[in-house]
Amino acid sequence: MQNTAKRHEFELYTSSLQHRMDPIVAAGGESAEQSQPHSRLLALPPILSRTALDLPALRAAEEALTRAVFDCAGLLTGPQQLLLLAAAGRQWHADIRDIAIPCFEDSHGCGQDALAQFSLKLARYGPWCCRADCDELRAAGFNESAIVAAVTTVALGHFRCSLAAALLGRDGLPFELQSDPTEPIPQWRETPAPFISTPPPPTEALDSALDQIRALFGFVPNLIHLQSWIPNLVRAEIHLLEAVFGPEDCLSQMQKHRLALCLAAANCSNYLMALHGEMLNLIGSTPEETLALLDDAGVVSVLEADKALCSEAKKLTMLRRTGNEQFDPKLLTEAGFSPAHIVETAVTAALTNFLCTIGFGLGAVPDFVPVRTFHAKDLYLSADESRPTQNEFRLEDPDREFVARVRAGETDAFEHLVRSHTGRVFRTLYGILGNPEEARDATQDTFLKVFEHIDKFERRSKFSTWLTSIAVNTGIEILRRRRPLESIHSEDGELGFRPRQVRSWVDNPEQVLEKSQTNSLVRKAVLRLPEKYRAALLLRDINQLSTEDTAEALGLSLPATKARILRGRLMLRESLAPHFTRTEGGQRV
Amino acid sequence: MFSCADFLAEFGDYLDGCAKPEIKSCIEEHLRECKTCQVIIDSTCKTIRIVTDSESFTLAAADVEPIVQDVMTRVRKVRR
Repeated sequence: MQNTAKRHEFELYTSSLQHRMDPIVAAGGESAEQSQPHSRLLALPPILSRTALDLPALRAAEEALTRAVFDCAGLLTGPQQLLLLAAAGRQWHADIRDIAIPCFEDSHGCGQDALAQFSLKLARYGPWCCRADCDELRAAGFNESAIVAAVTTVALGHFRCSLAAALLGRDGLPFELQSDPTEPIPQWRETPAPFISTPPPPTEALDSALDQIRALFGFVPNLIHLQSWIPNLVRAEIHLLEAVFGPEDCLSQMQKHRLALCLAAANCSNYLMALHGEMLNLIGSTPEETLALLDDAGVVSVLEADKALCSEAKKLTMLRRTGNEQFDPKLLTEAGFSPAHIVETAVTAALTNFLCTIGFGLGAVPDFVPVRTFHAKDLYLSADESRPTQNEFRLEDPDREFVARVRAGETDAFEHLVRSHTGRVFRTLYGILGNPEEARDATQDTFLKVFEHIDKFERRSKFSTWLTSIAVNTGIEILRRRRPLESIHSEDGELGFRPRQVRSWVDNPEQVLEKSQTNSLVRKAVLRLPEKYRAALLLRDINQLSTEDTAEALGLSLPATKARILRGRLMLRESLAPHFTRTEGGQRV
Repeated sequence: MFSCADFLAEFGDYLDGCAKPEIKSCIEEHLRECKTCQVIIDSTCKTIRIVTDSESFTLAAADVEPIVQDVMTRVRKVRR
């Protein structure tokens, strides 16, 4: 009975979209009959027009965006557009996937190999996209505008499927990320960005639309600039951005940017992380709050209801992982949100997926330094996935088994994790707080937070790195209560330090003082370092994390982390130098 | 010409053994001629060694278990 109902609904979506398909098919030069198998690929439900809520602005914006993408008929043929939509749809919907597979197989004989390969990679492995993928399209005859059209069409597929996954969920069609173990995971390559050429200067007609986005965000994002190869598309996209992020009828701007940031992080999109991180900064959220929100830890100033928003939004990630959960509107209802709030959440998340996809496909360069930067190792998301890259990217986590047992409800397994990591957590907190008694209490608090949030640990990093980031945030919170804090997350002012002590050191400085004296000397010198350098040095040299893990734990970019570690080491060297430099006669002792 | 300022900007990766080959050779060439930078790199290496080997923030082994037990007592209360 339920299957029949779903089938009926599926057919309804198909027929409701037929009127949109006809012009595309005509543009592509196919008869309606020829297009019949493809028509079902467009069974992406027009969700907003089906909701009982009165959301005219959002509906109109969704319609305008869909029209603008489909209007790229001069750049792409109808069948090509269907192929691109199918690439996104097959990630989410079992029926679309089944129908899409032969469609991709057929593409080999139609000279669409390059487009098929490109769309499959972008739809499933967006963060892996690189300049070479766009070069392949160029070699197949696609110009810059056509590449923008192709990327945007895949993005539209993700937009609509995200909406379906959020708003239909378990009661409607089974829109959820689909598995295909036969798909090879691509190799990640770093290539110059952006992947397409800079478009010509905007026309006057586009200028007014760009003014609108300036009024909304305070600047024109690079992502928008790159798409201005197709002005109509940019206008429609700005229309949707305004409809989503402009009004505060239901969700506030803070709530929308927070949930968008969390979903961008789940998608590993440095571009969107940077954009929403900056917007949050502008509207009054501190970098510490933003980072803590991403780590699901220590966000004292964020309401539980808002955390629920972020948590549900993250479930709409386009990246498939082991244990992906489905968006559950009931959880938002229980958190006190109305149906209108839930629809806004879904649209904001869908728009985030849309923009993330465009950012991946075009290689948009972040407008700001991201609050957290994802690297190659972050892309190999599941411990169950094979990783055809070098071993250095393999994420072996010695705590994996115990974490799984705790998540399965075995409280005693947590004891092993606590015992294994107490020393590391204590060292971190003692180094930040400078007081062993406070560090003991903070160590306990850190483990309590870890236990409470262990279900949210996403295994993109090692457990020990995640734990360390929570310890750092716990220490910072205590310092903030104690005194106004220089932010450890600001990335300015790392350069310009010049060493002053330039006399040679003795050969074996460890032998100059008693061990206890050296320990005391180092402790005092480390505690005199400004917090941001101290935290970096503590994690790298005292806890002996890798530079990458240090960056992850601090929520900083790799270059900023390296700069801080070096600055910390040089400052420490200055403090220690008077004790270890050679005397006039040679060795100090 | 690789200057002392260039050296200071680049020698972090060199210390960690991950400098790009072309930077590494520039640093080594600079070090052959610059006494001041020789001192800086030598003393920074020794600083790292001292800090890494020191037990300045180490928790005594005897203090680990009481923390573990306190945490587990609190955790079991949370779970209930």
